[in-house]
Amino acid sequence: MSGLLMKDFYLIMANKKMYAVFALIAICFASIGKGESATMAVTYFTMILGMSVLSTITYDEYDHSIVHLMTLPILRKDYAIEKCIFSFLSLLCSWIIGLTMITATLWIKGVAIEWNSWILSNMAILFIMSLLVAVMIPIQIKFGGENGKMVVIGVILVTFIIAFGISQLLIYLKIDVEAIFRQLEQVMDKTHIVPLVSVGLVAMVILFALSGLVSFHIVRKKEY
Amino acid sequence: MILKLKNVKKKYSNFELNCTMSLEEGKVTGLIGANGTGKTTTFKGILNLIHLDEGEIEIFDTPIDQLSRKQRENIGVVLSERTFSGYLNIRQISSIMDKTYQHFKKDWFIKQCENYQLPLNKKIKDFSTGMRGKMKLLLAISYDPQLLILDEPTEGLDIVVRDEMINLLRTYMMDEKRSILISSHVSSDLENFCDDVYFIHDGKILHHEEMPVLLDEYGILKIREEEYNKIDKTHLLYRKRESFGYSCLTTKKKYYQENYPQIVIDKGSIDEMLLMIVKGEKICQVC
Repeated sequence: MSGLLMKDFYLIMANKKMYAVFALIAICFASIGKGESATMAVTYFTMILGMSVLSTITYDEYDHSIVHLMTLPILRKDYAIEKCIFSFLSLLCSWIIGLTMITATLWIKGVAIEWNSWILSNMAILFIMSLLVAVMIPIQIKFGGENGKMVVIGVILVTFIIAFGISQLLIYLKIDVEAIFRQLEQVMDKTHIVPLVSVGLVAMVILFALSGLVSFHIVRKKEY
Repeated sequence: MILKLKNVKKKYSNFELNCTMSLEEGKVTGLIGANGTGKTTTFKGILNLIHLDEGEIEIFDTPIDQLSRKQRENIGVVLSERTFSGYLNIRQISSIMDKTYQHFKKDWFIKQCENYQLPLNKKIKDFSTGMRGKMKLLLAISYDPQLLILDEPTEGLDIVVRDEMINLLRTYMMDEKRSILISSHVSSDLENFCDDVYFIHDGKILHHEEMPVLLDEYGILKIREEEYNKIDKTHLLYRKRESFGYSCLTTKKKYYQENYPQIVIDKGSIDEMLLMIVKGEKICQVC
């Protein structure tokens, strides 16, 4: 599996110049005003790098190199697991790099940072990104790069409809969601940051483990 | 037996594979057939890339879906038009192989690439067909596998590169424990290299023969219809209608040379024999 991880690392590093440009754009975002766009900048950088992981699946499909990979002494299970490990690590690394980079930018600018809310809001971003990538890995493996995009659009549309339905239901039931969020925020402010981040990381690991399981079932049935 | 396929069946909407064949230790076995006749499907079955409808495939006396990692490391593969992603270069590929195969000879591989003037830092998508062909074969033999599975390894290569590759394979076969299964539609590659050959058409193995027997004892009779009616047909395999009468594939060229000296008998190339088998009509029920 280390060979596959190395292959994917080489593939995403083929675009390293582009990532440097994205990093500059993210820093520019964060530099605007008094750091209002800082979370947006971390989101942007994490999303771009995190999504580029999915491009390794497209690379594998390109001129059918996946067929060659399946002739190597690796099991189909290894391929699915490797994609999830690589995605998890890449997402985490890009988030840490993005967060460090933008935090440094804010510090240089002299913007006061509320550490708890800064880390937690970015942690939430990381979790949402993880959810998105974890869902997209099996979709990309099953449907391929191009068809996968169409399926993802469909998934986003369905998710939007469900979210809209839930919001309408909450209004109908007269549940004050904002009050719930305010309470949650208060609880989080009082809680130490380390257990919260740990819970977030464990949740991410569970997400990618589930994604790996679904991907494995898809790869096992697939013909090349 | 290094490789065994028993009643392997795979059905597609417009094609069905039905194949039984085997490969012995120390032998080079060829699979010959026109494009779209089932060669690649057979190879995909052997490599467990497709799910079979029926039948069994064993490599090293182990069902293919139960091969251990160590056994899989003993198989070298070259697939037509397929290798690592074109966005990688040879140096990167050698590092990946080093992490993947326990016995990968990294230094040997890099040295061979230099000998064959393959650029180490150029993306392989920018390689010529010949360069890719050489790299794929060098990769496949770079960890000393016991079995080589080569699907059209010489496809699209010029005569010089083809010759170099066949020489590489001859060197590889110096070790008597090694075996090769090779497919090609360039019959001259197989003619001088294989120990035995399977003819495949429409997903079925139509004929199997040892290469020396094929070259020494097989022949193609060119005969008029009235002569055809008179001759002994015991040693005729296939016949094909021609403007002059019949072309017949025989397993006993000398028998007809001695007993029917008036008949024109061609030695027949592998291509001509393939044509007879594919286009002809089977006439010998016992052969």
